Amino acid sequence: MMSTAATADRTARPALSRHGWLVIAGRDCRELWAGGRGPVLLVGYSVLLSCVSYLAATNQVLNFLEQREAVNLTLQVALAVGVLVALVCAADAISGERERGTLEALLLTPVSRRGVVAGKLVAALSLWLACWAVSLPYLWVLGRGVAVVAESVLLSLGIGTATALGLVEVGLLISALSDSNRASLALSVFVLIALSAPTQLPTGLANTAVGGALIRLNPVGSALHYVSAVLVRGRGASRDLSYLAAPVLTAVLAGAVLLVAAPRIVTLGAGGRR
Amino acid sequence: MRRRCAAALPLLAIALLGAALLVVGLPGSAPFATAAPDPTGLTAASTQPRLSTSVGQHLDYRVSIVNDGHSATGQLLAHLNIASVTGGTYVDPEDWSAERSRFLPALAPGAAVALTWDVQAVSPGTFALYVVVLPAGMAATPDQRLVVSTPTRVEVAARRTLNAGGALPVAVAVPVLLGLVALAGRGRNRARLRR
Repeated sequence: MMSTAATADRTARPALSRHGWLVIAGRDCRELWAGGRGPVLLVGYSVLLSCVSYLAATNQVLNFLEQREAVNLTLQVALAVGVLVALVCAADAISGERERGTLEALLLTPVSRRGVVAGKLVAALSLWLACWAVSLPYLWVLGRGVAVVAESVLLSLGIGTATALGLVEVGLLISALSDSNRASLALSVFVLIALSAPTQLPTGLANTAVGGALIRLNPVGSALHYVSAVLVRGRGASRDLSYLAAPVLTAVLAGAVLLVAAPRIVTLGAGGRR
Repeated sequence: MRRRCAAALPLLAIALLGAALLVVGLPGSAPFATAAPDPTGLTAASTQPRLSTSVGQHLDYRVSIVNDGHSATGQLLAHLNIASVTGGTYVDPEDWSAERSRFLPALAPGAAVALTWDVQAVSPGTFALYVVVLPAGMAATPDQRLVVSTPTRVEVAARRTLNAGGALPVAVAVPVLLGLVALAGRGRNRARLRR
């Protein structure tokens, strides 16, 4: 009897270790969505999008805007804030568990550290995908008159997901390396604000070599620039593809760092301290 | 008296004809006449004599600058301008194009450069877009002439993009529905905790 149980345990452990990320993802998603944090964030997100889209559709001052620009404005806000929400969720993922004292129990499970990180990545990305789904009615109502609904939906899904993936990975790295949850959240929000800042450069400055490089190297700025180029200026999807290098590279590089460093940095102490 | 008037008629006709010829012959008096070539041989011309668009739309305004002279130019500055040709419409060129000035390198004899400006139509009406080419920086001398491109006539149609009726139901319904879902989830959690 004893040996049967031990054999079952031995076979179950590698299986859990292999699919452990799914268990972690399921647990974190349940906590996020059934626990009520996700839905509340989505309500706030939808209120913001309602204000922006109603303003873009009705405000007399904005009336000179071409309708494509109204779609673009709403899409940019949806993308930037959706990514911010997912980043904040990722920034809380490891440092939050550490601070709440639940990380020790998580590390005692047979799930590998990489599995823990992958599960938390999926949970944070689920928040981005929910934000994207919430943005759909707004994009439809603004874009149906100028036939850019399908274009804007595909752009937001593809580019938004690539940007969110990269920044969520960065958020997880920050979270694993931070001493406290507050520091992790503050640093993550600072990173996003710093990355969004070049989008506010005046056009003249953005067209200089330095301004252009700042936008191209920046995953958020270049993603927003690409969306504008396709939606507003009507450029072909392949013409400004080089702008997508920054979000894709961020996702690949941060993912690789996370994959390699996860066993060392997902520990009870911040940054690999045991 | 009548004979004196009859004698004056041919003179009046000649005077009118002369005046008409004078008006037609004056450079630049005809609308959208081609630009006179600069003595240095520098010319600027747009390949788009007419453009039509509506308010808010972007258009590409293309101008070609050619040095047909026998000597190289210095560094040049091409500056985009816009004017309302019907009057009554306020035009702030900064609103139409964010980067109006372009600095160009010296053009060798026979060399040409093509420039494109991204222009956004801000107001409805009829406008003329044109480019002035002048020597850049310290190369400018008081006696140097400006080179002006052929103007492009831009017709901008008015367009109303307000869509309050369509946006309001979505702007209200989505947060309300999500709020109800969040409240229902919270109520279910509380009930589970009580049990």
